[in-house]
Amino acid sequence: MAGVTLKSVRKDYGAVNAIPELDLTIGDGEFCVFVGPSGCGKSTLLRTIAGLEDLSSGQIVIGDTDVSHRHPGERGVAMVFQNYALYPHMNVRQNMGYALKLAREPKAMIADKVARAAETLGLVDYLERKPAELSGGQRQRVAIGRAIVRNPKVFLFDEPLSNLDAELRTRMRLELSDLHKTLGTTMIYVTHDQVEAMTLADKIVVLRAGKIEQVGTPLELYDNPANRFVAGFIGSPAMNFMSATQGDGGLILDDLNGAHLTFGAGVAAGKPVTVGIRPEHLDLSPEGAPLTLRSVEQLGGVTYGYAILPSGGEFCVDLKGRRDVRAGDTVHLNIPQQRSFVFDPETGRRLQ
Amino acid sequence: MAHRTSYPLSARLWIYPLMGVFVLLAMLPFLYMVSLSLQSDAEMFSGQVVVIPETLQFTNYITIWEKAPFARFILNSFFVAGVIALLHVIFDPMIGYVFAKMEFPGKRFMFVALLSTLMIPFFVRLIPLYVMTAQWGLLNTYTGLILPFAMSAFGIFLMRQFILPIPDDLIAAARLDGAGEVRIFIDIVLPQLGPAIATVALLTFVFQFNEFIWPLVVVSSENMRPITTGLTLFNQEFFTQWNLTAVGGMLLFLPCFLLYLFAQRYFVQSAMLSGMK
Repeated sequence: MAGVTLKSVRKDYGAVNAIPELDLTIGDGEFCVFVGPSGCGKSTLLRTIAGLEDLSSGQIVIGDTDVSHRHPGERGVAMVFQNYALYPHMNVRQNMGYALKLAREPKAMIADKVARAAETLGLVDYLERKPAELSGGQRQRVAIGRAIVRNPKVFLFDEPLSNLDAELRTRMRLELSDLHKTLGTTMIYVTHDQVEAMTLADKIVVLRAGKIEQVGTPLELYDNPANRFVAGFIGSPAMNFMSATQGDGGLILDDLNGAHLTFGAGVAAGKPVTVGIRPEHLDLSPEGAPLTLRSVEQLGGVTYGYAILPSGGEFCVDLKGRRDVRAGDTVHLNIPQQRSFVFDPETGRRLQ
Repeated sequence: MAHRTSYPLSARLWIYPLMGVFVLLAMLPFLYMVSLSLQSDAEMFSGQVVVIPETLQFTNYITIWEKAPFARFILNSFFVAGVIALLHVIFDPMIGYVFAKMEFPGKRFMFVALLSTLMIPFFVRLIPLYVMTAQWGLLNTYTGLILPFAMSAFGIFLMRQFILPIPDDLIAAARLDGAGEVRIFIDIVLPQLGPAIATVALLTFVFQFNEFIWPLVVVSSENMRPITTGLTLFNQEFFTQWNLTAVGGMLLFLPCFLLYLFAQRYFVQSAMLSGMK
């Protein structure tokens, strides 16, 4: 087991800078999730740690060893790919034992390790099958098994659940979480699905354009986002953003019929700001600002109402399970100060 | 799944005879060669077209071995075509893999240059190739017969097309499992090229087994001849023994035919997989 330290890691593709200089420390045994929108460089960063992409500059340390220039097979990492990447001509047993065979381990030991991993993952009955004869979930289990048998210092997961259907994804997510608890090995996991990030991670690294926007535990990022990007990315449904200006010792929400908020006194007078509030933190109250809903989603336990703001932005409100509200109805919203955030509209930086 | 259409009787009444005519037209020269190979000298020189010989002269199939060193010719043909096919099986996947999965400066130019050799007719290359072979002292040798055909742009192209769809992640996974480049090629890439390798081996063998011009140019001694040029022994100044030439033709045809029957499954599979049908 070992932690991972990235020191001034930089990755260029010719003239294109995919990852500007980046520093990150992932603790021993930690489950770290890289999250961000498509093209933010999270997979590139993971593949760089794996050694599948060359470093342009910087240093990658796993445990106490600088592995920056080592062959991928000699870094002590094992990776699970989105498309499983199982060898199609080998059966499950051969797939799982291939790395050990290359490492010239004795046959009896290979058989033993494969059998143990197969047992952990419920694959005992499928050992003689080829990948084409397995379901998506089974294939992903084989891919995980292939990683486990190598007893790596670090597991790398590159969007491993993206190809599975919703139900299976939830089940595999729980299995991965259990696996992490059982093995206690450092895991780095890439996803664009923030629900996966929130449920699995000990630590989330939010990336945008190759830069780290914020690092923290899931709840830290949820409760205390450093900027508008992180605030909008973490949480589902996403946070609502409204434009506002300072006036009368508080903020006036231009987007919500000029509703007056009693906070934001620290903002310079006349300065436009962006107010952020999560759908689940809005209160329904007869004295609140009116909002006409264009659609309502009934999910059984939860009800969401949607509206388009005058500025063109989308707005979502958790209707606290109310089933009597219909599209076209007007609801009155109260925005609690302690749950609201104020951002600089230009830099996206959080002001309050 | 293949879709089978059942045609009504009225359609079948004209489709089958029409198809029959085309098949017959295509097979006519071959059928005539079979007929010729069983004709006596008298029938052959009678000046009339004999379709079915009066008595089937199976002795022609024995005479041919006595009149020329045919065993040697066959051996030469098998050896040269076999070695060339083997070289293709070894080199084409390697080069195809490099073009499909590796990045290096000048790759695009080299690939286009390679493909452009497909556009140049062999006859244009014949003279420079002959001069080079002569200068290297390879005339009238097996090496001289084999070397110019040891690799082909077609084989490399076919392999590249087959290797391109192999996911990069599969190769990355092998790399992470600790495999080096050679291991990845042998353990991961090669096992997936079965149909393509069978196709290249078959096409190369058949093509080289039937090669006529190059042996005609390079080989001067009788015992180095393959069957194709060996048959010219029956082409004499004043007459040609067409019946024996036809027997030689049958000997040339049979191995290729049997090989095709054996490898047909792979061949069709390969054509379908490579999108070249």
